[in-house]
Amino acid sequence: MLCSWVRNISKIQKTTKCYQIGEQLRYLRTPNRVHSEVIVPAAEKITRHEKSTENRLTEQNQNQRDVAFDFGSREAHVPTFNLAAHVNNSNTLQQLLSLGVDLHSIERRKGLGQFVLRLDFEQNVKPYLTFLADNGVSPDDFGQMITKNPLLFKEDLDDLQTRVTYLKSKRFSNEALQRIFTKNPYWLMFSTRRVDRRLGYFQKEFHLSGHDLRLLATKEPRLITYKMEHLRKSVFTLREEMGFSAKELQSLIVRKPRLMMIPPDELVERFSYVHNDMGISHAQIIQCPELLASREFRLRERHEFLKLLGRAQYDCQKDLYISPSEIVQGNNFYFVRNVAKSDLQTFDLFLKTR
Amino acid sequence: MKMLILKMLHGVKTASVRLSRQYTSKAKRSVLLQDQKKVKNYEPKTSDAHTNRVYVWGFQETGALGLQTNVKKAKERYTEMVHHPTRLQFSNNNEITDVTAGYGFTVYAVKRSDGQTLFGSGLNTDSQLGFQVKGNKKDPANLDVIIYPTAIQLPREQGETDEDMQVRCMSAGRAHLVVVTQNGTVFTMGHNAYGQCGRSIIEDEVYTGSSLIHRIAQTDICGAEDEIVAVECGQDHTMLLTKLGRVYSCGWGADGQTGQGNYYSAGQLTLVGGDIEKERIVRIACASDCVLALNEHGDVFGWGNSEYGQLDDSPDAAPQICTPRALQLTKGIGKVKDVAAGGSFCMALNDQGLVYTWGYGILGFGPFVEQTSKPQHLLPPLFGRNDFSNATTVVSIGCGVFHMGAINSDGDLFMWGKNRFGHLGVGHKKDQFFPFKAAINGKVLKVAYGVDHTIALCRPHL
Amino acid sequence: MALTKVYDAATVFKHLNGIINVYKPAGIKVKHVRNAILSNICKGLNELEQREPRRLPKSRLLLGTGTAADTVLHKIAKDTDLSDHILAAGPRYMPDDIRCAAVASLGRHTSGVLLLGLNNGLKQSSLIQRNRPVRVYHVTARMGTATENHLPDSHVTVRANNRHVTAERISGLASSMQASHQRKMYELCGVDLQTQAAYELACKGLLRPADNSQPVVYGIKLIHFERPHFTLELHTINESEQYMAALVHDMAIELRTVAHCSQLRCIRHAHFDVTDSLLRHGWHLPGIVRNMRQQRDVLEAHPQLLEQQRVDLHAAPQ
Repeated sequence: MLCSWVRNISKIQKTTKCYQIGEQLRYLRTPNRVHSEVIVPAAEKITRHEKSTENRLTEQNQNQRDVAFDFGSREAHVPTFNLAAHVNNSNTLQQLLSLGVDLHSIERRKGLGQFVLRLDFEQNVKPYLTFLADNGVSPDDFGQMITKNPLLFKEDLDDLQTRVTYLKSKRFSNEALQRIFTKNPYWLMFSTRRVDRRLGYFQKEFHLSGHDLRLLATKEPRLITYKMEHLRKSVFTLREEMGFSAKELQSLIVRKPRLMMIPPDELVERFSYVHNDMGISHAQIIQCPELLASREFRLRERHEFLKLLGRAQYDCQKDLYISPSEIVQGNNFYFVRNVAKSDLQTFDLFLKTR
Repeated sequence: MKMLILKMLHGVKTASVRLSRQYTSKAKRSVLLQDQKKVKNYEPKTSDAHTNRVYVWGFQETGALGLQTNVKKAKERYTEMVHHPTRLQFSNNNEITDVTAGYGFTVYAVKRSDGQTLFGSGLNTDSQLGFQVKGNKKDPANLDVIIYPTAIQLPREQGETDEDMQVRCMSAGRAHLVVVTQNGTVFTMGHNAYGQCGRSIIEDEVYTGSSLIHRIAQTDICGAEDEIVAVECGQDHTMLLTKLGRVYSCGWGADGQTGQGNYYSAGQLTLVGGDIEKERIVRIACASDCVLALNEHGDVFGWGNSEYGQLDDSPDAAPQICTPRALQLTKGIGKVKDVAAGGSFCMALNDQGLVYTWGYGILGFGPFVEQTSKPQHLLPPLFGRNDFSNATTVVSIGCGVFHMGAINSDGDLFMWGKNRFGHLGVGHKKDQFFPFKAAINGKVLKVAYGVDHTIALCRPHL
Repeated sequence: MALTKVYDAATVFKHLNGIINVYKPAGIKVKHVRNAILSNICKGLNELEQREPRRLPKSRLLLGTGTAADTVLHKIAKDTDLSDHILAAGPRYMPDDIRCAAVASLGRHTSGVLLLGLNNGLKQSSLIQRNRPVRVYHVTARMGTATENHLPDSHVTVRANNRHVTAERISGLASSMQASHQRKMYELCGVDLQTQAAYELACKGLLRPADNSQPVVYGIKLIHFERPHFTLELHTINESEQYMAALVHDMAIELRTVAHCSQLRCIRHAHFDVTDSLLRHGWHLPGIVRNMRQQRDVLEAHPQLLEQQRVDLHAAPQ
C-alpha cells in the first residue's frame, strides 16, 4: 500500500548509503575493470572462483551488450534506499526471501543492507546453509537466523568448523548444538578462544560442574555471549545486594539463566517487592525463580488481588497454600480462574482501583 | 532474614549528578536503598489551647487592627491598610470569646488567668477604651491611638470575682462602648454628649483622658425577673435586649433611632414601645441610625432613619420613624431568621437561607443596581452553592455602614459593598458589586463589621 | 447497528477512526501506553488477511542476466512484484501509519482514564481538548512521611505522626479549600470583577478558566479515611500530577502532619467513565475496536462534548 511506499522514501536519512545500481549493471558499463570491483568475503575465494566469474561475465556481456545500452542511463542513476528496490533484480535476495529472511529488518541495521546486497547466493550463502544443515539446524530456522545475524556469511567456513569441533570436544551433544545455533545465531561469530574464556568465567564464578555448565549454555545460549559488563553487574546485584549465597546463586542461575540478562535495576526492584512486600524468603525464591523473571506490575497486581481475597498465603506449612510459582503462571484469565478462584469481572474491577 | 546490603559501588557515580532528578528505575533503586530510620521526625505543635483564631483586615491607621507592635513602624508608609485577612497575633496568646468593632476601634472579650476580661485597640480619643496610661503610672499620658490590644480595667465592687467579670455581650458605637458582664452589670464608657452611655448629659464634658466608666445594675434597668441578653449600639445610641424580648434604649434620637416616640436625646435607658411592646423580640440590628428588630415568629420591625425608604416605601412615607412599627416590606419573604441594617440599606435572611437586600447602595446585584425599594434575594450560587456543594446555605448575615457580609454553612465569609478602606479583604480598594469570598483559613464563627475595618472570629480546621 | 465480521486488514484500518478510552496503569508514561496500543493495533492488523503483493507491469524491461536458467526471469514471468512482498517491504501496517494523540495527558504515577484519538478521531479529540472538560480524580494520600516530589517513589524527607488527624478535620479543610479555589476561578475566567458581566457570571455558579495555563479545582471532597491513608475526590481542570501532589502535601501541612500521594487515579474525563475503560490485558485489536464503538455511543449521547458555547460549567453526572 501507499504507506509502505512512502516509508521507503522516508528512509533516506536512515540508510545514507545509496546503492547506485546493481552489480550486473556495473559490469555492463565497464567490463574491463570487472575484477577489481568484485567483492567477495575472503581473499582465497577470489582465486577459487575467479575463472568461473570471468567466464560468466564475458558471456553475459556478449549476450547483453545491446540490451544494456537500450536500457538508458537514467534509471541507473536513480538512488535506492532499501533492499526491496532490488528484490526483483537480485537472485540472492529472492533466494533469501524464499528462505523466509526478513529483508526489511536487516536493512534497518547499519551497513547490513549493503552487505546482503553484495552476497552471491551460490558462492556466499549456500555453503553456510549446507554447513548449518550438517550441524542439525532445521531449514525452517534459516530465515530467522539469517534475519538476526546475516554477518555469519562473513566468517570463514573453516573457522566455523573449528568452533563446532571445539564445542563437540566439550561434550556438547548434537541436540545441544542445534539448540545453541538456532537460539543464538551470534554464538558462531565468537572465536574459540573467546567462547572458552566465557565458559570458563561461568564455571569459575558459579562453581558449576561440566554438566551444569552445558545445561546452562543449552538452556540460554544467549547468556554465554552476553555483554560482560552487564553480566558482572548482574552477579553483583544478585550476590551483594540481594544476598544470595554462592550455593543459592548456582542453583538460581542454572534454573533461570535469563535472570542474568535482566537489567539489574529492574531485578532489584522485583526482588524488593517479592522479598519485602510479599514476604517470600530466599529459599522460596530459589525454588521458584520465575518470580524474579516476571515483571513487577504483574506480580503486584496478582499479589494484591490475592491479598484482597485473603488468599495470599505462601507458607506451605499452613492451609490454603498458594505456591509462588502459580502466581506468575499463565495469562490473567488462567490466573483468575485457577489460582485466585475468582472471576474476571472481579479482577477487572480490582484492577480499576489500582 | 537477609537484608539488602547497602553498599553500592557503581551507584556512586550517579549520585553526584542527580540534581534535577528524573525518577527512573535507577532512582527508584536508590529509594529502595534509603535508610528511613535516619529521616528526622517532624513534630508540629498541635496542642493549641486557644481554639479560636482572629483574622483582621481594613484600615489600619486607627490602630483598630492591633497588628502593629511598634509605634514608629506604625507611622511608616504603606501601612495604612491591610488588604487581606491577616491573623491577629494577640489571638494566638489569648483565648478570645467575642469581638466587637466600633468606628475605628476594636474590643475583644478574653478569657485569661490574670482576671483581665476586656481588651481593646484603636482610637481612644473619647476614652472609649477606658483610661490608658503610657509607661510610668505617675506620669499619665493619654494615648489617642492604641496600636496593640490593651487591657481595659472594669471597676469592681466588693466581692466581684473574675468569673462575674467575664463578658456576656458587648457592642460599640461611634465613640462609646457598652459591655454587659456575666453578673448582669452594664458598663458604659466613652462619648456621652447624647446620653448614649446611659447617664445624664453633662454640658462641656471633656472625654479625652477621662477615666470615667459608668456602671448600671441589671435590676435598675429591667427589674429582678428579667435579664439582659444582648446589646446593640448604633452610631450614637444604645439598645439593650432582654430575655423576655423587651428593648431598652438611650442616646441620640434625632432620627427617631431610640424609638421612644420623640426625636430628643436622652441619657436614661427607657423601655421601647410602639408595635414591639407586646412582641418578644429576639434580635435587634443597627449599624448607624436605622434599626431592625426581629421577633420569635420571624416578623420584622423597624424604626429610625428611613430616608431611602428602607422601612417604608410608600410615596408619602416619613423620612424618620420614631415609633417601632411592623414592616410591610418584608411580609412576602417568609419567616425571617436574621436581620441587619446598614447606613442606607437593610438585609434579611429567611428560613430557606436566601439573603434579601433593599434600600440604597451596593446591594449585591451588580454595578447597575443602586436602589431597590422592595426586598430582593441574591442567588444562592453567589454564596458558594454549586454542583459540588449543593446543600450550602447562608446561616448568618451582618453589615457595616457601607458594606454587607454573609456566612454560609461551610463557614465561609462572603462580603460585598463599598471598599474604600480595604475592609472587604479582597486585595484591593475597588468596590465589590456582588458577594465575594474572603480568604480566611478557618471556619468563620462571628464577624464584627466596623465602619472601615472587619474582624472575623474563626475556628481553625485543626 | 448491524455488525459484520471482518477478516480483512484494510477494512478494519479504514474504520479505525475515533476515540478510545484506555485505562492507563500507574508507573508508565503516556508515551509508552500510546506505543503499546499502536504496536498492538499493528500486530492485530498484520495478523489479519493481508493484501497480496502487487503484479508487475507487463511491459517491464528485463534486467536479469537473460539466460533461460536465471530465476529472475522465472519470477518476473510469474508477474509478482517481489519488492512488495511483506518480508522485503516490511509489515503492511506500522505504528507510524496510525495517527494518535491523547486528549489530555496524565502523569507517570497517575492511573485511570486516558482518552486517545485515532486517525480521523483526532478531530474529535482536539475538540474535546479545547472544551476543557472536568476530570475527576481519586487521590490517596499517605500521612506520616513526606517525600521529595510528594509522590511515592522518591526519597523520604520527613516523618511525622498523624494521631491527631480526624476525618472531620480533613473534610472541613477540604470544603474551605474548595471555596477558595472557586474564588480563584473568577480571576482565571478573564473578566473584570467590577463589571455587570462578572456579576452575571457569578450568578451562574462555576466558571471555566479562559485558558489552559492555570489549574482550577472545583470540588474537593473526602471520600475515604483509614489511617494513615485518606482519599480525596478532586474535580479539576488544567491540573497536573505535580499540582495535585503538592495540593495533598499542603493539606497535610495544614493538618499539622506530612503526607505524600500514594495513588492518583482519574476516574472520569468529561463523560468518559472508568467503567468503560480498557484494561491492559484488553489492549488488542478486537478490544480496541469494541471500545472505540462504545466511546462513539458516549459522544452521540453527549454532543455538547464537541461544541462549547457556555462559559459556565456543570459537573458531569455521577
